[in-house]
Amino acid sequence: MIKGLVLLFLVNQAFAQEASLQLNQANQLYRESQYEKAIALYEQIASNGYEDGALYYNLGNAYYKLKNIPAAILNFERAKRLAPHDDDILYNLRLANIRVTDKIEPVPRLFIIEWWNSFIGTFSTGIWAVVAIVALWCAALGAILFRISKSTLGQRVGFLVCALCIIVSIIGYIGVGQQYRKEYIDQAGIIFSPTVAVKSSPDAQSTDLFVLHEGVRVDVLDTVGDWKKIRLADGKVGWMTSADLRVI
Amino acid sequence: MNTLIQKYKLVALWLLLFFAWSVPLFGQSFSASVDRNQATVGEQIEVTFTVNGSSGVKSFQAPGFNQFDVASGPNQSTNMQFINGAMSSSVSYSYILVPRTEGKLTIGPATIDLGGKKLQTQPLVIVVSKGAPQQARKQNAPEETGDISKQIGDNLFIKVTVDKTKPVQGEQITATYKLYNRVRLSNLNISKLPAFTGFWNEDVEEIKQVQFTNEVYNGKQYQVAVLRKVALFPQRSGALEIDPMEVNCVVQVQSRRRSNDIFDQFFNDPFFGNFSNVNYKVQSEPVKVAVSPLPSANIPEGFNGAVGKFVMEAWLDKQQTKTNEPVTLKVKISGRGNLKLIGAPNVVVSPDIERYDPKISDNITRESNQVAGNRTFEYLLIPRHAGDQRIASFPFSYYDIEKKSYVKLVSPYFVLNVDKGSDAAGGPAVGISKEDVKLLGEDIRFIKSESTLRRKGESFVGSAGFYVLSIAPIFSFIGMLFVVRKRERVLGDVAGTRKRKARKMAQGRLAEAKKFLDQKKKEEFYTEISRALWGYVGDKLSLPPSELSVDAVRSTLEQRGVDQESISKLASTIERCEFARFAPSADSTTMDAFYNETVELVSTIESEVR
Repeated sequence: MIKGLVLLFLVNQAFAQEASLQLNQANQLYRESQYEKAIALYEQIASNGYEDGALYYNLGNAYYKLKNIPAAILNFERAKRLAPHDDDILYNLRLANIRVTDKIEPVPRLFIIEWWNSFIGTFSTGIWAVVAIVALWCAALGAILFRISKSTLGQRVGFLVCALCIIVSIIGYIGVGQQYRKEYIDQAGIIFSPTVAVKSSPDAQSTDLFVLHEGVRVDVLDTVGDWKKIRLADGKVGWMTSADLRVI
Repeated sequence: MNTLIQKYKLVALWLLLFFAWSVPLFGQSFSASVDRNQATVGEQIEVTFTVNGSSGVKSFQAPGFNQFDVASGPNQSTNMQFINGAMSSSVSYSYILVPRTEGKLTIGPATIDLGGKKLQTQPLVIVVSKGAPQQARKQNAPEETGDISKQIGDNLFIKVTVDKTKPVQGEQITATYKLYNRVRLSNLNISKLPAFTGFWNEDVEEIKQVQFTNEVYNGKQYQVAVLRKVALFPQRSGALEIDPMEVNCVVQVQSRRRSNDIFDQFFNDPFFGNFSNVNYKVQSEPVKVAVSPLPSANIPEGFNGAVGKFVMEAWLDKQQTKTNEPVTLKVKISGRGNLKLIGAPNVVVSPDIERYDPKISDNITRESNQVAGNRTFEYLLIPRHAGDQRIASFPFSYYDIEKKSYVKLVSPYFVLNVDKGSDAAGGPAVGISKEDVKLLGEDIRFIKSESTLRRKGESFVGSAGFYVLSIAPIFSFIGMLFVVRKRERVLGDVAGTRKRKARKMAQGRLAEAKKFLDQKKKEEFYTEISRALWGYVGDKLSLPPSELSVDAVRSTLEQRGVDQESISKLASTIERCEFARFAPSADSTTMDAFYNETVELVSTIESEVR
């Protein structure tokens, strides 16, 4: 049993090593401006089941160099999902977005919500999970201290620690939920077709609501057969075929 | 004799005087006259009131001209004449009147006051007939009007014929202006072209030169010339009027009039044919046309006012293009009908294609009095984005007069294959703000060389470990609670238990004391109070009963931060208990107060002790 686990771990390590070798090779190709070849290698690493902010970032850069803006944006968005605060990723994503035809003004939200979201967004799911769990343990310790302490001071300290840590832990779990949703559940997509007429219902005969062009990021709200319900940053909602976009 | 002569002289003188005075008297007359008794409505007549043989006319009163408009007047004129040495004078008042209505009109009597004597004129009757037709109205000097009108009259007129008088809106009607002539016409020129308000007009025959042909009309032979032939398309429904046409003719008229004018006489000489050139204006009568509206039911899509019979063609000049390279969509509507009134069909293109307003060109032919031809709309389309751009089919509808119903034509739809142009680098060159352009000059940041590749989908959140670690603290706390309680029980943590339960115990004893108070058992009451206090202090301060003394309690309480006042109060209460237990008299009110004090004291110490 243990032998099996160790073997699995070793095999894993070997594959990961191979993947990072490939990554270095791809980076070398990028440096030599052989973007097509670099892209092929990066994509291979990704399709082998590996992911990293840097991998997608480099892939996006290669696409950008070939002026494939939607693919560049898709990969920058994937990189951003894994490393939400990486300055390089954000910068290149912004640069790529300038080349998108459609200018979509995000709906302004209440500043408190905006503030809260940016606060939660500071840490990724993993960090929030650690914060929440550590705080919960501290709260338990505080509660025990409160219970067993003979001195009034000890009881007071225990009570305070317990209350504070419970609050921190609650915030931590909210952060976990929100970030997990954002990183793993919420689907977003980048439009790949040069021009897409967004329909009012999942039916090719229905009314055209608006037209989008390649590179626009949309939230995917629902999927019905071959159709996806999408929402723009400015709140517009419509349907388009799955073929017109690629999910981040 | 002398006296006789003198007498006669005197008589003669008297007679003379008499006559001299009386002649003017008898010669005075007042009359009214009119220049003609028959007139038409709107024609001017002159009425004159004349007073003869008077010089001092006062207070002339004109009659009320109720049925006339006074064009001018009164114009007063005085006339003096000396005939054979005799002077006669007359004063006349003249009015120019215009009858308002037709019929027999009466001008009432005018009155005048001559030295206290009132004179009156006879009323005048004028027969007014309806206005003469405008057609045969002459332009020359007024006095010639009658003459020449009579002479020319029916012999020169313009007649308008229309092929339909009840068209539908947009249907073609053909109006022909013909000049009928039986007089010597030396020249003619059209002075006023009809405006054709409410119609779109198109000349179906271009008349360069007026050509006369012989035609019999009303049993008379006329020389007839077509002045204008025009196709009219009513633009709205209702009663429309085709405007009259006015032609200035120069007609040679045989002069019959002998004028005193030496100049006229000269030209009227037979040597000059005895004809005079007269300007004569001929005007056609307006023609009324009742235009019925198009049926309002079942108006199909794309109806833009076209009436007639049409076909539509539409084509793109190329199916394949690049971004920002223009394509032309041509829509040609050909047929017969109100071509020039056809609006552009509504061509809907994808928003990625810039569409400009169409260029319209007409090619109109006239075949057998029918306006036909074609109208072409050229739409310039500039695709801005690559991809297969659709141009939806668009309808064009017209009203078919023969079928009396609408006909809808539908164009095919087009697919325009747009490739990326040379300047399109995946993004638009158009419409980026200056700031964006500045940023475009910058390049993306370079790739990252270090990375930590992970297996996809390896998330701590949602894994078993996450849940275990989340729930574990709660269970460990509960487990810890059990362990602590068990240990306390095993170790018999007397002090801790006593301390926590000190107040509870004291309250129990005080309740007991209260019972004794109610039973008025004085001794038991004070004993119980004393025990309650000692017990409470001992439990609270974890003092064993052997060490319980007032001094020990006092010092320990001081250490635990209890107020000096409370401490001394406690001491005095305990002391009072000892005394009161054995004191002979103590009524229930003091006992009651004592009890309350003690309860208060316990809660004070409870709050102060640390």
